[in-house]
Amino acid sequence: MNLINKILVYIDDTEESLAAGQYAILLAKKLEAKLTAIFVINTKALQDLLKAKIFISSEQQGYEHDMREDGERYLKLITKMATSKEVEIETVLKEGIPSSEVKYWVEENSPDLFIIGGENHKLKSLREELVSEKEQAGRIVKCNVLHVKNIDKVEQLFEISDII
Amino acid sequence: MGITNLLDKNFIKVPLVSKTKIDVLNELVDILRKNSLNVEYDKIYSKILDRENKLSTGLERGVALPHIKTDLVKKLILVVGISPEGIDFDAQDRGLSHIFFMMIAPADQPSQHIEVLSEIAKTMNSEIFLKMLKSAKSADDVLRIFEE
Repeated sequence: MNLINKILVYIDDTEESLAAGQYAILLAKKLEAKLTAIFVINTKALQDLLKAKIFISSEQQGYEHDMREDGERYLKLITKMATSKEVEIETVLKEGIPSSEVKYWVEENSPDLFIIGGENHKLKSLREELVSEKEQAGRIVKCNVLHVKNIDKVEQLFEISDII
Repeated sequence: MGITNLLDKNFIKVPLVSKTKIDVLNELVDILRKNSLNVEYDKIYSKILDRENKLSTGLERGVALPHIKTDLVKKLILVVGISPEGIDFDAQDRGLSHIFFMMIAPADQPSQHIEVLSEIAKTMNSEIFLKMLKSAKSADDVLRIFEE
């Protein structure tokens, strides 16, 4: 029995998450693990911004559309990256509060490892409201979590992985 | 990427000297110019003004959040300004605006933009936090307040 059979990777529109995706692909290939990529459209934040009158209605609709396209685009990209390494990948596009949606998915599917792109904060804020949804997801999931931080090294590893 | 990753001392101005809405938007955009960002400042200014003309982003409790998404920038930019005296920014509660978060987001990164706006909106729930920001005397003070 392998230590890691199922891996979940969190994808958003940041460089860190793409590096996390690359790392997850390499790890899934090495361990012959099942890989799933999840992207959550933060519709709760959109509703909150509209409610707080930070957004006007047309902005909310425009952003919702853009975020959906964003999600589809990034999941396609990660699929293409996985295919290039001959790794099978399942993609999941959800809507809601990202940390909660990830938590529910983990509870239902029991991955052995959750991989996220780590943030190298300039400021080490203790304020709970400044914890990003991605970090919050890492805190509340009931499985092991791996933070991918060294983006450049991961990109290099991904590039040369067919050679080594 | 969260707000703590975006905050940069060079993009924080304390105190803002403007007295009017038009002037303060100019002063905030001018911070981009002073940092020699390779962007079209005038176009950014007019897009921000267009957005403000649809509905003021002067919120409650002295916070204003002018924001746009545009192809004019490649990465998310956050400019923070503090006006101790306050500026009439057509705020929702008709009060003066003291704390300005101007956000310029690339059109192709909507999720990051939403996340940071949402974080700023959450900070508005803390009156103590806003009081501390309003009384900040320097950019270092602002950074310190976010760190605490």
